[in-house]
Amino acid sequence: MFKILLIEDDANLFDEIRERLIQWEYEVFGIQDFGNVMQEYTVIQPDLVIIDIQLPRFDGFHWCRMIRTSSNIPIIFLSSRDHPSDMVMSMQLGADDYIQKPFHFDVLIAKIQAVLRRVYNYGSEQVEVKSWCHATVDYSKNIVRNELGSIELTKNELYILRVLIDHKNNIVSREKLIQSLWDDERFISDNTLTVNVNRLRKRLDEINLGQFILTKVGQGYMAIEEEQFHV
Amino acid sequence: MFKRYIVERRSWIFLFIFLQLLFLFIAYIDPSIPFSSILYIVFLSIIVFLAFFIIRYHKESSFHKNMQELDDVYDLHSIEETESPFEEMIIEFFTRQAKQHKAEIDKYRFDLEQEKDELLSWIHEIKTPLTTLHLMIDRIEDDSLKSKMMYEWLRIDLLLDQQLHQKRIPFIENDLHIGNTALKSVIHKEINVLRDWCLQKGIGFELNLEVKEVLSDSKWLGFLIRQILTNAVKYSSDSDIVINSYNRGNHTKLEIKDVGKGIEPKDLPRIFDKGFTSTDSKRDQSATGMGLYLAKKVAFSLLIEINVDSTIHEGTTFTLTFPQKNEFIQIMGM
Repeated sequence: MFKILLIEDDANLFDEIRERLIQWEYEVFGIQDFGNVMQEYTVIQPDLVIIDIQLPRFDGFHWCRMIRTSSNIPIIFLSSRDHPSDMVMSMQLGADDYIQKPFHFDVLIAKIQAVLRRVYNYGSEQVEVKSWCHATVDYSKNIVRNELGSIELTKNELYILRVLIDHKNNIVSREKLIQSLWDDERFISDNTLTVNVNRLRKRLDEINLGQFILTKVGQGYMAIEEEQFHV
Repeated sequence: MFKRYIVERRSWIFLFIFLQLLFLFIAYIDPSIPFSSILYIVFLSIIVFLAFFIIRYHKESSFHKNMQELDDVYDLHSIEETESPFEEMIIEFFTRQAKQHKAEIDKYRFDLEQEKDELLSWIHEIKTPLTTLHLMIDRIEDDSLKSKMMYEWLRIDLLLDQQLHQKRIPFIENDLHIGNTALKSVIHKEINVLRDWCLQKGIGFELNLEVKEVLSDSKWLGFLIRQILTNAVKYSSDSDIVINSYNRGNHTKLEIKDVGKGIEPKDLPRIFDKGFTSTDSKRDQSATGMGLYLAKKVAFSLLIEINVDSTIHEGTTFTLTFPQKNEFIQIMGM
């Protein structure tokens, strides 16, 4: 479990972020005395530090500088100012990322994961090929292949298929599908999702796989594994 | 100028003429004075007077001419030729006046900047509770309540943001950081700001960015795009907003196309006016008429040309035309 030190003086914001990070199975620590951050930092020994730039006593840049004198630990800044100089300053001080308030929690978690992955090489082996219903789904080449042939999918279609396969035999709601597409910077609308799923199914039909994508009216979509289907 | 000088000196001229006439009159009635000699003296006097008058004209008018031709009315130092004590008095008076004006202007400008800074830091203060509030709304289980609260939250955020940028626009020249700006990241950022609202309205985006980079200020360009996107999302539902970038001639264009309700032809010329909201009776109560007005102002500073094309019930297309590189170099002195 990764230890995150969240240096944020606003108690409510601290609690909200902490709560959400705990749900993501991170261990979250705060600071008691903002005049003496370094001592608490040394005791906690975190894997990642999130620092608000505006803090009582000394600003976030100060603590970033202090931490950097002894460690290369990943640091993410939070700031409510939108001046480019803040961002430049954070980067110059060796911060790994910078988030402007107000932010979506999804953005924060994505940045935390990205930084941790980069620094600690965690979860870096991305699965590029997956097998599903005796077919091979190649994420890097956008290709689905089985003994009947191979089809090439568009990026959106492949992404939808990927989400469905990742949740194999479980219903994925339309909202959740759209959310995760947006997370991946594919800003598709509800209508486009329907079109994409229908097209995906039609393409999969070419190699006799369309039947394994089910539509659950009013609930969402589900990809099933062949064996379950026969049972 | 010469006419004015004559008018200015008219009493002296009359005095001179009167004196000459007096001489002639005395010579005329007094037989002991030879009239022809006096006539001769008067003739010489007139010549000397005319010569004197012309020389004086040139000397005295140069000061006033200089004053009239002054570009910067507060900079009196550029008038060098003060020759009379009166002229010096005038210069001294106006220099004092200019100084006082400048001090007053400086004070107001300082107050204005201070007020701006206070307002900006106040807006920045608010961003922290707003962040907390967003995280809290995220936890609401009731989906319809959640999406309504998200929408209201977003309105507050967008309005604050408009205020923030509106206060900065008068000082925008000092705030521009022109550089190569990746369109994709700017647009993605703005779309993500509107995310909850778009998901709620079933709106998606289709990006075809043939041109990936433009020379602009990423923060201000983002603000500009946000105003147009907000407008597009506001008047659409269950559809895609298409964003294209391409080169035409020497210019890069960015097109934002929605298939929303469109703008009435009679409204079209006024949409960028301050405080203008649709004349449609069912107009959106939340429209403030500031978004596009600010967008136009920012576009002006970024040398971007905005064009709108709209058909009622079919949709609206905003086109941003970016300046050529050398236009920036000329203006920014880069």
